[in-house]
Amino acid sequence: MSLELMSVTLLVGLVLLLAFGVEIFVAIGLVASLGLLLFVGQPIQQFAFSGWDLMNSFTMTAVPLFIFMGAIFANTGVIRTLFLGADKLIGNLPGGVACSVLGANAIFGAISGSSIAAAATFGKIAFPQMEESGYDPRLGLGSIAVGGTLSVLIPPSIILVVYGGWQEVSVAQLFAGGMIPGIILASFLVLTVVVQVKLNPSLAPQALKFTLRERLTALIEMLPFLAVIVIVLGVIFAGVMTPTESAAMGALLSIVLAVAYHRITFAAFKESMWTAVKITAMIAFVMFTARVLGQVFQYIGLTKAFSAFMVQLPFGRYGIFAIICVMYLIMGMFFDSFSMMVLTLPFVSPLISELGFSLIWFGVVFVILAEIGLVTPPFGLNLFVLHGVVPKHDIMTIVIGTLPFLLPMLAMVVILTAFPKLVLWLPGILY
Amino acid sequence: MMVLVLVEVFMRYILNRPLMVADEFSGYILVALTFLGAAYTWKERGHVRITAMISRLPPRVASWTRLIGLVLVFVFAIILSWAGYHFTAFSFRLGISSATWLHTPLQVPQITIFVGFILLALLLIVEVAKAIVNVRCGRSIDEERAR
Repeated sequence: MSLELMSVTLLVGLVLLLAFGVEIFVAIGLVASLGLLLFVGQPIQQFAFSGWDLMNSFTMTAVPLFIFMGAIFANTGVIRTLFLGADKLIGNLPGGVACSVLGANAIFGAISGSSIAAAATFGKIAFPQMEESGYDPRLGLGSIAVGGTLSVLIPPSIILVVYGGWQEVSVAQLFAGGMIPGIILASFLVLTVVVQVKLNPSLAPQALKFTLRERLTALIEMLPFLAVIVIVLGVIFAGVMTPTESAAMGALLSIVLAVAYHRITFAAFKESMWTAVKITAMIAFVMFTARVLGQVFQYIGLTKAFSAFMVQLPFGRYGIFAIICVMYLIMGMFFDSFSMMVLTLPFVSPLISELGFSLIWFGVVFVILAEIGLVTPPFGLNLFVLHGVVPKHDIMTIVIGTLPFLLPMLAMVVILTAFPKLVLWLPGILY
Repeated sequence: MMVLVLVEVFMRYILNRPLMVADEFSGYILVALTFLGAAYTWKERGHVRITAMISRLPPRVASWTRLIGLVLVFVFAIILSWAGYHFTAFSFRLGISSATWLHTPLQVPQITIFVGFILLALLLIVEVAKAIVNVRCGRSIDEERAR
């Protein structure tokens, strides 16, 4: 059978299964089984083998640990302290509470790596306060939905761990790479709020003023969290611990902190563990089925043909990269970040290497592209999660609210492409 | 499951004393956690799917589509169980053990893959049965998963 026919059969099958709402891992898996049986002639054990191979990994152990750590913070209400603290510190900017949400998200992002948890939590904590003080719901909900995506970029980030585990790139270097872009993006987003409110003052009430004393108290209240962040990231960047070890330490510290604040209940503890199990299993099942499908595509030669086809396109390396970006932006409207990543990497990563881009750099850029996907309809996870928390506002309100924030995010992709040093500088001096 | 994660957290602390065990065992525990947790994840609607299109179909069509979808999931769970069985059986036959000083027999962690897939398949039998009953009664089986 010719390559074209095989590829078309597999891809059409995949798209059909996905469109009819079959679970993503099953859609990938069935197509991969078909490929294995019909075209490759390899035993179906590949599934168990790739599952074993991917998950029996020290690197991947960081995934449940980081999820657990974030969940402990989310479930025990420690985040409230964080939000109130951030509010005191940067809440006097125009559009104050919206800025605080973004700021607190940036800090929360350095504790947890899950965007969905962030959107849900801040929707519960921050939005009532915004509504009470007369914020336009579009600005409020937009900043919460977008703020959630900061958690994914600012390390520790689960998607970067998965990317590292998949590509066999150093997770510590990826974390270091995400640091500077994360901080820049956070400030861009805050700036977007400020500009919006300056242009249209009716969006937000006059920001509150806080005294120096109040701010100092807030800083002291936030200190334990900042300490956890500094320790968890510090030991990774200093090369003292691997990300996995540091994740374990972070998980323990989060329990200690929650106990110290008398916030932990056994139910919250249990809930956090189950969350870790659930998300890990979800990611793993998409991962190992996609690995098998990737092998099928490689075996029939589609991966190579795709790469050869893309490279000979007459647009230059940046033009080709732009095509990849557009593809991700479109895919991001339908897929969650993990599925999108593992489905496309078998094709995209050889291409990225061939074009002479760094895989570390690409990991970070991919995360931003995937983040945009998290807030674009029809399958922007953050939009749905937030809508679930604040059901009285239409999902369109949230979508419109996030639109202005897409601009700085897209700008960020362009900036990182023009200045890859922003990503690569920190990993370069650390390792 | 929960205990496993707990053990895992403690495992990492063993590492501070330089034992070579944690490195190896955390991987096994992760495997167990993932595959034994798959059925739980299913029950909690934790596996992602794309509902953008199916939610726009008329309810009756959507129910039938979902039923077919569930059957497909069941088929895949059977494929996985079969794969898991052969994979584990292969290790049993050869008596493979890990290449570390512990010489852990790899069948032990590997059997969790098989068991996990079987659990998923069993759960799917129930799900498909429930879906059939619901479709015949004309009820919607695709409860809106707000994800």
